[in-house]
Amino acid sequence: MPFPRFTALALLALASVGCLEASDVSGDPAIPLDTHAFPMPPGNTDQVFAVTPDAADRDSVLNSEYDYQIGSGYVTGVALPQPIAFPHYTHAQVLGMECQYCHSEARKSKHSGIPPVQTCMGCHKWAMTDRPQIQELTKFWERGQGDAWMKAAYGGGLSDEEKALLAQGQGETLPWKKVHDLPDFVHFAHKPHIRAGVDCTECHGQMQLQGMPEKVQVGIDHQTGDAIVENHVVNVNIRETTMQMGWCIDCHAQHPTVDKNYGDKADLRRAELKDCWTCHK
Amino acid sequence: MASLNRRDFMKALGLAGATAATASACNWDDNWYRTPVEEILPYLVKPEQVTPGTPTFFATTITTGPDAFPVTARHRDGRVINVGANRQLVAAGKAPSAVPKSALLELQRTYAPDRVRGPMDGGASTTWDAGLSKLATAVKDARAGGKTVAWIGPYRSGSMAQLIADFTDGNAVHWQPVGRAAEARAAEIVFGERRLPRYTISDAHYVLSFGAAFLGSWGGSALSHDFAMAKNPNHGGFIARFALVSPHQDQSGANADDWVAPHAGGEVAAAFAIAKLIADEKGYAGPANAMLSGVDPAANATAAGVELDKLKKVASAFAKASSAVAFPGAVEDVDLAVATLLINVVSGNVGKTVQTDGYAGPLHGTKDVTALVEKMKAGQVGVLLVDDVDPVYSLPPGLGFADALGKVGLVVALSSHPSETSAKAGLVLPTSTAFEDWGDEDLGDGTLLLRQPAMTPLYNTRSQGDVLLSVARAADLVAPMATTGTEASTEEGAEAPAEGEDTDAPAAPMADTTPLGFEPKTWQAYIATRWERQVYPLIGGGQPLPNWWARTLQAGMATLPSTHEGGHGVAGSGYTPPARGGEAGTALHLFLHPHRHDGTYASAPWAQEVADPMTGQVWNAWLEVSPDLAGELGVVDNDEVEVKTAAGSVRLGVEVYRGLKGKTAAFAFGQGHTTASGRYAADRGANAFSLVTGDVTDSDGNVLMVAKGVSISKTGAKATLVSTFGGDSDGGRNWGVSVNADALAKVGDKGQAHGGELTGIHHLPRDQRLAEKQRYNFYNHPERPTYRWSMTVDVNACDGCGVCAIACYAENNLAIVGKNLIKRGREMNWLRINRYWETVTDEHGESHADIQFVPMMCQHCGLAPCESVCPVLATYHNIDGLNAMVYNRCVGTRYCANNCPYVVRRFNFHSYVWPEPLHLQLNPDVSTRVMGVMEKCTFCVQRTRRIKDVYRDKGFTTTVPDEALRELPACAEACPTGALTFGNLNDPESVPAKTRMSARNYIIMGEFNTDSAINYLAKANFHVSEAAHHGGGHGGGHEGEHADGGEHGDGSHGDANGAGSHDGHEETDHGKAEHPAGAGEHH
Repeated sequence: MPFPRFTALALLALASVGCLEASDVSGDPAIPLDTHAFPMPPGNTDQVFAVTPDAADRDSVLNSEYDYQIGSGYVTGVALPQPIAFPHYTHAQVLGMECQYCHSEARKSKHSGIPPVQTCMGCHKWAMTDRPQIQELTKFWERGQGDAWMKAAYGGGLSDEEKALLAQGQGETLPWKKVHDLPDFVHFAHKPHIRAGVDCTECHGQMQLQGMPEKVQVGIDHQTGDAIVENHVVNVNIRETTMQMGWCIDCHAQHPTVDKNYGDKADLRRAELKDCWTCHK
Repeated sequence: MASLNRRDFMKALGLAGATAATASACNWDDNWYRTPVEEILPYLVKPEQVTPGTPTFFATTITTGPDAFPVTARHRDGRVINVGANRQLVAAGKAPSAVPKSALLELQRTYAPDRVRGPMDGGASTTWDAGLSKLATAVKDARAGGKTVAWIGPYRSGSMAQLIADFTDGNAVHWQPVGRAAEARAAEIVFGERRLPRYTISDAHYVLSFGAAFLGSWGGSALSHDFAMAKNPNHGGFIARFALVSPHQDQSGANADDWVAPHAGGEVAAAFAIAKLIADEKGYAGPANAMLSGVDPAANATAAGVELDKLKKVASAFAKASSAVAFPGAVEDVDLAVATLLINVVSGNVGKTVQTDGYAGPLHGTKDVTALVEKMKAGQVGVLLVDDVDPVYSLPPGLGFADALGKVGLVVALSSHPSETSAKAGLVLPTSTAFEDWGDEDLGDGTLLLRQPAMTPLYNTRSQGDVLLSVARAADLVAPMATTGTEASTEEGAEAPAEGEDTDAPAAPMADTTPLGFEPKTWQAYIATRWERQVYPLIGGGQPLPNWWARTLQAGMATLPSTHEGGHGVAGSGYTPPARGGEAGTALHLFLHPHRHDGTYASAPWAQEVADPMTGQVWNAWLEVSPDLAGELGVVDNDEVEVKTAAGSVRLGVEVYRGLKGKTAAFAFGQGHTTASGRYAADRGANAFSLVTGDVTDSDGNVLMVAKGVSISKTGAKATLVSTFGGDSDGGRNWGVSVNADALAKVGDKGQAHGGELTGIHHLPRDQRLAEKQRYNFYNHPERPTYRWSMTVDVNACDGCGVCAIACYAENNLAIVGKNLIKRGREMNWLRINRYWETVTDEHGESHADIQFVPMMCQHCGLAPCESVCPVLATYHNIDGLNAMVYNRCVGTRYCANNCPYVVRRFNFHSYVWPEPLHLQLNPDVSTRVMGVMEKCTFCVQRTRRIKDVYRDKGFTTTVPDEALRELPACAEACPTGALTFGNLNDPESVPAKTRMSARNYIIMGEFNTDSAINYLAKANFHVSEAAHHGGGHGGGHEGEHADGGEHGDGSHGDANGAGSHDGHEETDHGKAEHPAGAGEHH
């Protein structure tokens, strides 16, 4: 077995026990992953399924499909530019809305559920329509022909014109960027955590502070000499956890909800929760 | 070293390597840009039924016509990813728990990369408006010019048959190349009513088949289920005996207990002889005698090329059985169908195993296709609509269909599956598949099935119903208001009195039978209106219509009271059996392929990749040659031969095949497509239809799909066949085990002191010294406090159809690797069916085949050999008793696969891709694997975890009851025979726990002390000697030497009676290279 490959594998083993971060292994071009240990059979015209990257396009492959297939790309909690600036602060902190008002699938499904634009428009059809970000949101809604879709879902029959609108709006929605992107071999499920009574903030941190405006001095009023202070939304990274496996396992081993829910069977449950197949399927 | 465990060892090893690399290590937070930023797209408006990340199940119906079957489509995040059994109907006893193979293959065809994605006009893409108006103009012109608008397609029933009949004014040909029209015609001859016989065989003691694939493509899941019931020793206290009278043992025929081989084409003569013999023995004096009066059994036996005594034996056994059934042959043939019906009639089985109230929809034979071709040649057809059939491929070349297409005004392909025929069509209007469309089916016995779309059409396709309705409106068609008297419109549709929906219901509410014509605007409205008018009044039961409709859609089925009146009387007498004998010389037998059927599913990669049940062949066409003929031709496996008939000649590789006698060869339909049928079907060997000479007809005038006057010669070249089988024998290792059926019927299957009385195989440890010390294992015994997932495989029930393997591909994202990699032993199947083919000799010295189909998947050993050799603990025993495999931890040493005695682990030698849009079918709950990791059966861990989660919702410590587990894994869910049953071994009431006490229990390689979680139940065979069990590897004659059968029973023996110790030879040759199940390079 070629040496570089073996090194990478050994590092992977290290990464899994927390000595190194995952990207040290797979993200660093100094350590090539040897993809040519098993070359394609010669003259294989029949072979339409197998993909073994050539050395020439290895980098491009590693950076595209192949990369996230093996799940080496692993990122959570990075503040990315989003299509509209959604302040969790305003909704969850100021208005006191429940997390699950919008992320309503969290108690039912693997995914927490990004709310359909219809949920936003439930309020913002009327609320705060003078704000530029809300106007941006409304543009997405209109481009996707949201009103026609609403009528199709809840309002009964559509006229031919409205049906044409549906077709126009097909596929238009709000393209949010994924902030927590776990590797594809991790099958984390929200539902059991919510049902067990784990609070959202235990993993997601103080999300209600995300998008909190900060007073920033932008200049001085030369007439009065006062500082000019504006509200600037600062996308602080409020993530408090690594969301790496060791952290998951620690919690599975210690979390008080296990005792609460399982009583004298808590130890058994903890043993179950240690199973790799809890997340890796 | 003693204190250093494996993980610490790896850590230490890793540190040494890490020193070289840490210098360039950087903070992972800064490194996020290396990953492509993914988008999360929420719904704009969320459909009410859908929860992202959670499956939604839609009850629907798969395939059309008599084979229609209720299933549920598993919808996940906008697309259908799998098909499951309709649990609601299974629980109500209205449908067997099964997923038909056609449902899974239809699913994959929906995502086929070569599907037609939008309307095409003369090869260039066009718009729907343009396409429809072109068709409407052509229809108008045809009608104005007195020309016919014709339709040809597969069997359609219910609303679609009605609409097609209206649209074409009765010029519709419902045809399948190897279909069931002959049976309907035979029923017309015998009973006076043209509808299919309906077989109810779960209580049949004797089954006689003349080659019909009744456990495969021909019968559908219901027959497989019923046959397994009839063979189940726990059902009715008997074990059905199955006799095959056919020159060829196909997958269905391989389940036969007795095999009588006439010459190819001799089935008809043999069947009439048997009918006559039974009539004589039973002293039958009914009207059917008129049809049998001219039959001389002795002469018929000679014509068929079979000894009369053998036929007498079969006839006598059939006559003596308290209930029995006869099935027709491999290809449809009215005469053979009449003969089998007569056998059922004269033996008094009509009403018992054969019901006369079967499918009544239109079924047309080749005769009607020939008539259509004549019309086309004469230029009388203005518009020809071709539904999802491929006559250019599947009609005998001599019929001239392809040329006749040129004389049709406009040929319109109404299917989104490309084919040789659609390539010649002027206009292609792609229709949606069963998962994207509405529909209903009428099975004739009062059962109505509903189809609803389970996802938005993938491409720019429309429903065939919508196409016909909008064209009818645009062309100002007027539907015939009364039934026209043509077959197509009288037999189907509630309008016809024969249908019964609207007849003799004096006190009951009446159905509104006003013809719908083209009045509804959409196909959905057509279905809804038709059900509202014709079904709701009869069984609505006073519920409000919307509620009733919603419930009916949820169930997928409605049952009307059957109004079929008696009708067991024999009507016809003007029929005379033909004088058709078999071919004594070199002959060719054509048959339906169990996966690819008549070629319809050749474009589905699963149908190519999953091994042929009998030969293990993949991705190819091959000629099965009898050992005698192979000797005469001087050919061995993989030699190339040229097969020539008057119709044409093809070159094929040879598979020497034991299921053929005399000078017969056999060739399956389904391969040999051109690129027109898509990339996966293209250039795979030769087309069996191209050999059909077309000069043999039955007495009804249908061209038979047989090849007469064949000559076979060796070319000297080598073919490129690839088989996954390593041989016919299990090498004495007792993988396939048979026990005597009579003994089993006596002992029964339940309530034994301990398991394995009949097989003599006990899973005790091999080493008596360890047993004495109560130490079975070097390592600590694993703890499994709540569950131990386990499975029972009933080899007696398994008929080898292979639907479990296909379901596994669908559920677990198994890679399709193609022929060349399979040749190198790199197939990725998690579940395969090992076929063992031994010979046993009965007490009269006669030889019989002993064929077992043994589904083989990861045994989830309690003490797994694979686990102890993994250097990184990527495979381990989990708390539910599963042998878990963690892909992201696997480093690809392959030690585990080397150490697995069952050869069930699969290594990813490459990264495999799913050409777009096949990837849309992938199950999001299962990781796709990449190059360098090992994988294997997980007992569908995503399903077991899901069901645990469902029950945890009822209370944190609630355990899953047995009822929810039995058919949980994909293979068990798909299996129509109940051969695979899942359960919790810790629960003494579970099926696996109970069957371990069965007399025919055996554990494969239990002597290795693997503590396997899968137990097998031996096959019942009437020819195995009663004194001792029969392991597949033992020659029949040599069985008698073992007198140890009687010594079993005290439960204390370990080594002495253990399976492995019978002959002692496996101690020396258990190497993997010779393993019977190994993915060997056999050719």
